[in-house]
Amino acid sequence: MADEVVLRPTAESGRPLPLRWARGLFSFIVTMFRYKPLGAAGLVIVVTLIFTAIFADFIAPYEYNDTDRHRQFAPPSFDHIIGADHLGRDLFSRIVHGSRISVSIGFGAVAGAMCIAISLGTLTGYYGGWLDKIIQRFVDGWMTFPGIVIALAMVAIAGPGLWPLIIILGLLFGIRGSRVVRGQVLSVMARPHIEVARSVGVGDLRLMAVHVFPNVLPLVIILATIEIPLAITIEASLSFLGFGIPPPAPSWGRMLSAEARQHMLMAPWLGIAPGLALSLTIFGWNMFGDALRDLLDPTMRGSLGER
Amino acid sequence: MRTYAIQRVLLLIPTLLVLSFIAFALIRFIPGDAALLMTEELGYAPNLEVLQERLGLTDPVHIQYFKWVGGFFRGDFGRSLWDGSPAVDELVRRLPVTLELAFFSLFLSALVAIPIGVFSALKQDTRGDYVVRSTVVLADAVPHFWLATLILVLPAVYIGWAPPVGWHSLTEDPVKHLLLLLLPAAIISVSSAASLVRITRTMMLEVLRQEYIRTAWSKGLSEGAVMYRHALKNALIPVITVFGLRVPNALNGSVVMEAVFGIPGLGRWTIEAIHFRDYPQLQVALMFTAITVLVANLIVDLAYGWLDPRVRYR
Repeated sequence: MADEVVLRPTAESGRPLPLRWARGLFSFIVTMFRYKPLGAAGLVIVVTLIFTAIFADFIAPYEYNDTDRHRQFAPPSFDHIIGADHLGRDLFSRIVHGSRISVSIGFGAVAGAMCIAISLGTLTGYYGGWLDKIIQRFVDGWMTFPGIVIALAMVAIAGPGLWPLIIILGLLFGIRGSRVVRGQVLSVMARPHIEVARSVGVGDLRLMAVHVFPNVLPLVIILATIEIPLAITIEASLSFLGFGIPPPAPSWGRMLSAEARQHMLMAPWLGIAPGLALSLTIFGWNMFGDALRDLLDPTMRGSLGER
Repeated sequence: MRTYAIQRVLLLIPTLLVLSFIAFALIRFIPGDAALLMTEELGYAPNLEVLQERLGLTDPVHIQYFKWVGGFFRGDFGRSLWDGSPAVDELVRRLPVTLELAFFSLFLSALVAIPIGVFSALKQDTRGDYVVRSTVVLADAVPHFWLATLILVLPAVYIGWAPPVGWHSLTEDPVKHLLLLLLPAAIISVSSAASLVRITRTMMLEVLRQEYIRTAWSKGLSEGAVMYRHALKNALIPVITVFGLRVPNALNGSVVMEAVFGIPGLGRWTIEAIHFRDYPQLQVALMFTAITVLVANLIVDLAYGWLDPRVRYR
């Protein structure tokens, strides 16, 4: 009974959360296109990116690893829209396939991060006590290490590759995100509906899952859209430094690395195209995330930390 | 204020312990076959037992940790596995370089961003404001290392000029030293400048709406006096916080820029340590990167109280 009255997930503003049903999703997208043109542009970029990643095999005209001595450093032409690299691999195909890495890192790492952040944040925020105090000091310490530096150290442990990177970035952002989730859990716990639910004898697990979690969800979605571009940037930086995804996988960061730089003198498009793809992706996620944040919760504009 | 400052400094000690624990645990997680690799391929020791003896891996883990932390607080940061030299010697050479690069970049970003942010606020919703805001949005999306790549490659291809890469220390040749740091610092400063412009603009707009500004206008003060003496001073206080938040970012950037421009700083040391699997060195590098952030946060917090007398510390 009480559930029906108090458990409707609402943003701080009191408006119903736009992402509740498919119908809500549709009207949400319409709202975004009407009021947030930049956010809509971001959404289009993100959807294009995901589409490219899924259908990379059909979009790319060549195999990303097809080498051909005769088309070494081929300049942009009808056959190779943005040219070819030092091994004669078609650059466009490589960039198209690179979107898979970007999307897997973005979604994979952040999905992992959200699982960690939600479980750690909810448990520590809900139970509190000395264990929470200890964990919070640990989180403080963890957040003190700059992202790339600690990710580098973790690559030394886990080794390079797509899966290790997903796990590393998931941990990195998960532990950081738990602080944000915990804060929200603490504020939700102070609301009257929790007291009501407790008084009718709702157990801990049910309270967390049914009464606390829905109120944390909008924040988690916002956090995810902030962390996806960050994860993509860190992967690209690590690959750029030679610690990310090993060749011949077509990571955008790796395509810009020091070894690749010598070839750019012969073929500048090798330096321009991957960076453009990367920047466009980050731009898209940033814009989409900003708009989503404004629409989901106008009270917390720009309040989340950036590191 | 003084009590608060003392409290904050004392609170550094538990945080340092947590940091040391994380750095220690991370390194201990390195799988066993790494130790094997250290003996068999890299020749750190004639065999595994000798290596473990040398690394102190034969002790129980907690004893190892206390030994390490104890050494750390006495200033003994261990020795490089590679050449046996004390890590502290190299640290003293590396840390100032990174600090210089990071704070040079923050200085540059403030120098550029604050005037632009003020301009953008004063010209709110004009064409100039839109240009600033869209540039900020774009600057946020461009990764440091791509910018560096473009600057190294494009002029070389099209006009046959390349920016200087190499290293001169401050004592050796101060002018060349600063010129070498200028470009990497400027590249790192781009993203920091973007967020500084944003916060300066927001804060300036907020302050300009307040009543004491209306009073200042109605007293007949000149535009300059209202803007700079009354509004800007208050608007800049929150900007300090963002400044502090950008320190980890500047350190991230300097890891990448040191690698690109061949600057012998802490970031490159970290990378070298990972390359050569020199774990004691990696621990020291990790610790001092974190300590830099910690100290920067402390300074920002204290500066905040000093600049804004309304802030009361408990």
